[in-house]
Amino acid sequence: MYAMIMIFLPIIGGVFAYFVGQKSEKMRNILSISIAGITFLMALGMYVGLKDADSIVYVYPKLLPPFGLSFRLDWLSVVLATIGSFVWFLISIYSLEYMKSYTNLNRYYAFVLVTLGATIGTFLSGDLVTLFLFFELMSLSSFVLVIHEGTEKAMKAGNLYLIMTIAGGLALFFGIIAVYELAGTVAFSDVGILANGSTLSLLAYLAFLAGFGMKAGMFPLHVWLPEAHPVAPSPASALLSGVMLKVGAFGLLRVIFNVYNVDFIASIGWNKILLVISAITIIIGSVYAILQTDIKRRLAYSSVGQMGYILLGMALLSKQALIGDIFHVFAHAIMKSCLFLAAGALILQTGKRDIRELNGVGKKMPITMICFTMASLAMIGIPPFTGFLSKWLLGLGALEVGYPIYAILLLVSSLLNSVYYLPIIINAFFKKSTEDFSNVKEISRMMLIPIIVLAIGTVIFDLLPVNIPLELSTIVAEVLFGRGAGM
Amino acid sequence: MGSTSSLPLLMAMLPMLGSVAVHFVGQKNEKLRDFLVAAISGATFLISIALFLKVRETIVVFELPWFLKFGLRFNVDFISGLFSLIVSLVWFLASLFGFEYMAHEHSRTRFFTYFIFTLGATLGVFLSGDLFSLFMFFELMTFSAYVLVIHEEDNASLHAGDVYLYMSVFGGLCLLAVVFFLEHAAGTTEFIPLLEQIIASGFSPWLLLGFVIFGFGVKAGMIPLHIWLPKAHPVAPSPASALLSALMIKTGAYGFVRFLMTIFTPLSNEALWVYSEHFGYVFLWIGAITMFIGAIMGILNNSLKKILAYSSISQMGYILFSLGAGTFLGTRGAVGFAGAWMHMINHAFFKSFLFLLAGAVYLKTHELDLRKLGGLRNVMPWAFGFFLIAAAGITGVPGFNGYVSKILIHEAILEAYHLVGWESLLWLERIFVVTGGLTAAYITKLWVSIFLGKKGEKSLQVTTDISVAHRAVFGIYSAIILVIGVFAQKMVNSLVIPATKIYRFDVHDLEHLTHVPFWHGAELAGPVLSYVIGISALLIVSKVGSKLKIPEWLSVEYIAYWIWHRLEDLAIFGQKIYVHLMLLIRKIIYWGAKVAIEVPVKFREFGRRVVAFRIQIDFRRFKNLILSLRKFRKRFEVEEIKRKTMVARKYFSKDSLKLKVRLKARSAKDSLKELEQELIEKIEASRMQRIQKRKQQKELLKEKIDDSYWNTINISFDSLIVALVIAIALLVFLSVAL
Repeated sequence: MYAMIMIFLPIIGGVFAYFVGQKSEKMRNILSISIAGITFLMALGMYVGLKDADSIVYVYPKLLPPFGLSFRLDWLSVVLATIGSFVWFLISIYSLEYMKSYTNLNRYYAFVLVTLGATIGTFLSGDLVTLFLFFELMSLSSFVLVIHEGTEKAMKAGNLYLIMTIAGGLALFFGIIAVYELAGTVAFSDVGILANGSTLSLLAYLAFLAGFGMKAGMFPLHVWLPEAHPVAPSPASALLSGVMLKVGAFGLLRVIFNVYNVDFIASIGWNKILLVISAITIIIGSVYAILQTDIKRRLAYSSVGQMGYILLGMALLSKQALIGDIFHVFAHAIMKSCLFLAAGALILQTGKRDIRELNGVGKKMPITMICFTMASLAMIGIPPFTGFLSKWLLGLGALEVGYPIYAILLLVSSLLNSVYYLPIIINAFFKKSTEDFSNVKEISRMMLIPIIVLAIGTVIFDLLPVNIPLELSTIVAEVLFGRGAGM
Repeated sequence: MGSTSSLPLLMAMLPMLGSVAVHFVGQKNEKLRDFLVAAISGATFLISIALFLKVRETIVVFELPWFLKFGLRFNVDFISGLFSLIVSLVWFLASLFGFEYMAHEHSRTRFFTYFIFTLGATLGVFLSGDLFSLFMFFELMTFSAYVLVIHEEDNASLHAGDVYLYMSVFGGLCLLAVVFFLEHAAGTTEFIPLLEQIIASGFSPWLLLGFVIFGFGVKAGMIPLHIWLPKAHPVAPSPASALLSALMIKTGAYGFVRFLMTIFTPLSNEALWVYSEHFGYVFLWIGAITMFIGAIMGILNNSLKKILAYSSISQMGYILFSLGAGTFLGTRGAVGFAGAWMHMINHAFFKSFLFLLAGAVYLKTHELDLRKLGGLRNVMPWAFGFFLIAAAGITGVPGFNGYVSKILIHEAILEAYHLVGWESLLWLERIFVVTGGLTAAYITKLWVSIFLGKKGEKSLQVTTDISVAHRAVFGIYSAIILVIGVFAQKMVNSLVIPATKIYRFDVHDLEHLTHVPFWHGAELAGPVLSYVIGISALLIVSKVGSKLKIPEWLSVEYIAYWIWHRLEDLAIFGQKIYVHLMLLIRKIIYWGAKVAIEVPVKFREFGRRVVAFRIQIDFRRFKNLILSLRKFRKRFEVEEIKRKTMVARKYFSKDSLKLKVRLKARSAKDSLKELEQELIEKIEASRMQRIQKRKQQKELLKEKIDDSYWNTINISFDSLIVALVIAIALLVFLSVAL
């Protein structure tokens, strides 16, 4: 029941907020923030349930027959749900101030909440069909966030997003049918339900790669991402890049570890497909990011590259790399939402999106730019920021399974990251401004607080004696590799 | 082993946290800020004295195991202790110098904030107990020193800063690769002999050495990784360039010491010392090339701070050379190591001294071009005197500090020759002697053209000598230089021998170090020889100097740009292929469309004939039927059918169809031609643009020796990196795919 409440509270709350918003804007804002906050608290509450068992499964066969709904609370889903709802909560606070200049706010808040519920639902779902349901719901409701501005550009990007989402959904659907045909069930299990090397099984695997990879921005299915993320309003792009990309990665983790048997995948070598694709994704994302001049497009391409890290981490099939992988899910969620929120603040205050026009803005908006700097340094992977730790674990994991080339690749990618992040910082702080910034002021406190919290989040966990996200990632990786199975 | 004490952590953290206080105080009160800066660096100096007294007996360790999962480890032995003492002393002196110097600059608070922060990071590098902690402080140092480099915020310094930053980040990542490999191979990155484990893990030590050379070589100003140094050091404010040149590049040398002397040595397998021999030989040549080219470039330049920057490269060459000699001989290399270590200490003092003096001259004249200075001897006698002491130090005049380390280095290379007997070692010794002469040449050029001769246009405005505070700072420097020079043997006994005892050197060599023939006739002749070579070189250069120009293609930058242009050519070639391919595809589509339009037409024509024929037949039958059965039927029905057939025939007539197809085809062809024309024009335009740009760049490069050339070059350096990285990435994927 707990899972049901957690999922349907935001969805129903979203619908409710739409109607409340027509009466009173203030009530609607309070409602949306409090629902996001409650969801986050409930996500924290789930850890109590995991004290004794590694996974709790709820099955509701009477809902939506013949498959029924089922929910699964294990370490992976709980950790991701916590990160997601935490970032969501902060971004909701940021939205209040940022979205003031926009119209159709009732629609915006309603769909933000519906998307939150759908995202949590995806994380908590216990079988492929439930996952598919919430996945599609999330994709469709986030479409509304993408096209919020309603400009021609936004509609065009939205169309691309919608078409690719539907194509990805169809691929997933095919995969689910194939899995049902082969295994007779679609429920996740700790050791996987499929260890079958037939052509159909391979096709299903490829279909899952395409379906979830599309959402995760995997090359060559990333084309929607740099179009859709920049046109959305900044809080929405932070949500898209920070949380929703991770849903794709989460789906792939479920496929590799809970649908297929991980040892089987390792022995048959299918992970190498993902390995090569992820390497290309890392390089392509970083190189294209360098060529962008629009700050949000640059961030979006950077997301492609960073999702490449995450795909690489799961494709290596080493425990060390998997710890780094989960940790990078956390780190990237924090860093990228911080970057998008700070970029949104810059755009809001200066009206400029071009990086070359943002010279000298650091002197006018120091706090925002310092947060941006911290998150960028974390992106590049400078110790002691979080990005370094995930890069380190991924690199060691690559060496552990005998692929030193991928460790080098990570370093090359860091160099590329520095090439596209450092000029923004240098120009903002040290170059003389070419534009008229005399009226530019620091953003208001309501917007600053989420940015500052996220920026502190990029560094604080590494400086504390107990690195909580790292501990959690370690548990998740151990559970996924079969803690009970005597690994 | 060793005692635990939190002094190292305190020493690294006090300046780092103090910098935050400096930032906030600086916004309120400048006097208080200056006091705070002096207090922090002074306190750090006092702590370092306390730490040094401790490490004379034992090793000090401190560990924060939870930090970043892998732990922050400090392990302070004699080498770390002594060098961090020197770092904090020089920093303290530079900050005392800096208050007056910076008084007329902008963004003073920012400068001092990062100035103090960099102190903490640099100390952290020297105090670190493993490569991981070292790497972390190394990166912090890189980033905070960037702010010092670009302090002026003009084009020249921003360009220099870009080159510095990207090269340093590249070096840092190479270092991170080393950390990865060591952690994987040995499970630890501490500075202990690891050669056996490295070999056992399957990685080639040569590969690892390559990464180490790139990682530390960038910071150490090793040729050909030095190109950032002559750009970045001169543009920084003098106190900062003194620290960059005297201390920060030492972090590179220090890293090499840790690797060559410890990590790349075998624990028990004596046969593996052969790696040391090979590595040492490589470093001997790297050092020789670096010191020689650095000195040549020093002579050919005309900017005060640029000469000093090239001099730093050259002096780092000495250190690497001597370190190479020490590594080359393995356990017998005590003298080589001693030379490198002593020169690291000496260079820290005389180079920061020279840079601060350059700053003092700049403060009065606001000019760095030697051709516009001159004749300052009478107005600035104090500066002249101090400059002579520093010059005597760097050129190795007996009684000054440079002499001590140069004798040791000379001894080391001769010992290598005696023990191994390779002819090439003798040539290395000759390069060393000639470079000593060239050092004398550029240093003499410096003080002669600043202080002697006619008054230059910028020297006329100078009326006062350096201030009392500066005199005090320089006085301390002079005292240190003289003390080390005069009490040479005592200094070797107390500063060098404890350091050599850390490593497993032969006892015989250590004993040799206790009585180095410093005041022997043959050794005393060395400096005389240097000066003879130097003065004659200077005379030659001054006679033919204007004609003598290094061919531009020799400069590293030129080569880099050359490669960049070739890559560009490749890209243009690729673009051409792409466009032609696209045109071909369009042509294919066009032909396909033509066929697709024409084939149905032909079919339709054929079908029309068949239909017409059949209609005729049917018509005949019909007619017969009508005629036979209903002769009285109206004739006009038949006529009607006939007319309809005629209309159909006209509509489907061959000519009208052909015309339609032709019209469609023509419009398609026209648009294709337009497209083709447009694309060709585009390519042509971009080619012309590139040719234009390249011409400009060539002209700019021709002015290489001219001091102001970096003001004008604005080829973006990051695009170069991008091209290289793409090339690397392609290689990676090829290797994966094959």
